[in-house]
Amino acid sequence: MNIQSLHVPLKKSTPAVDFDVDNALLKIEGESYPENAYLFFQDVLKWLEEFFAQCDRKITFEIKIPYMNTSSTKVFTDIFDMVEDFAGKGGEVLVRWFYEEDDEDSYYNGVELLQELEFPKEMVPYLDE
Amino acid sequence: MNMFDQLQLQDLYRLVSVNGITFSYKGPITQDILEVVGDSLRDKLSSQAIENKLIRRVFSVFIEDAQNVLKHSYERSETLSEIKPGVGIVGVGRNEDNEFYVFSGNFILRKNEAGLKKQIDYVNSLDPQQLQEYYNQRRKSGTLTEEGSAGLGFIDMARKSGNPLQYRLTPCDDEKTFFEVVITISDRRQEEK
Repeated sequence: MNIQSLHVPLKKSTPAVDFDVDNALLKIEGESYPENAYLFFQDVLKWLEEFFAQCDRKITFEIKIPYMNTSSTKVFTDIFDMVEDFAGKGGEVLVRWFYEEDDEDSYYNGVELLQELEFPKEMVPYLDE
Repeated sequence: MNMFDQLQLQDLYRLVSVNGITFSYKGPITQDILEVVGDSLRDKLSSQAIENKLIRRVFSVFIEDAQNVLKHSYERSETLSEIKPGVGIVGVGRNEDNEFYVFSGNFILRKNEAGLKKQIDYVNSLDPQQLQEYYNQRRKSGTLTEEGSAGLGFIDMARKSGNPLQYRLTPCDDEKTFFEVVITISDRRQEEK
């Protein structure tokens, strides 16, 4: 594959992005509330589009976002649409959604984003600190 | 009259106190300011032994509301950079029932008044389940505007609040209207007890 791994460092209002091509392991971790989520995520979306077009292995997403604003929610709706397309074309994928055990909102946010999609997913609880 | 004569700090102090305002900020709302203010809000709530879930809910409504002002306020801050952040007042308080409320006030264009009223009145007319459905429908069918608005802000604030959004529109002149909104966040767990 002629695509490089993608690493974006964690910032106050934007998550760390750690997309590892060799292991097809794509991690997004941290709070996401930029003023304009498309500006922040446009490179990520572009990268994913390319990666999905080339990847012939099982892709694992690990998403641990304790809080996202509505602008980011819209972007994740689009990201999961892309995942659904990839899976629909026979691609193998697993989305692992990490939610904080004592915060039901972070659980329901994941359920809401993933519930009507058909690719395999897992809800994974964790405890903060 | 000089500035000191006009400065009625005691009035300001009284207004903040009687309204139970925990903190408030008035001025240009940039993303940087929002991050700092949001953090100190969370620190303050954490130090009061408030449960994580409620802290996050208050924080989330605060960010959504403040980003509305940042994006949609008619009054823009004159900065040297290309980005002219919206000006307004935002803050958090506790009401007589000790519930948290998030508030904001800013000028909007008077011609946008009717559209805003329609939007909020519609959100307020929905029960929790309808609100959830409307949110999902908008989330899937809507598109982000150039400023990154998903059109989900009021719906999200209403469902996290569990209460109708209280608002007031006060026309100031032919051009401007002052828009105030208060979002009260009920601690649902306490209600269930």
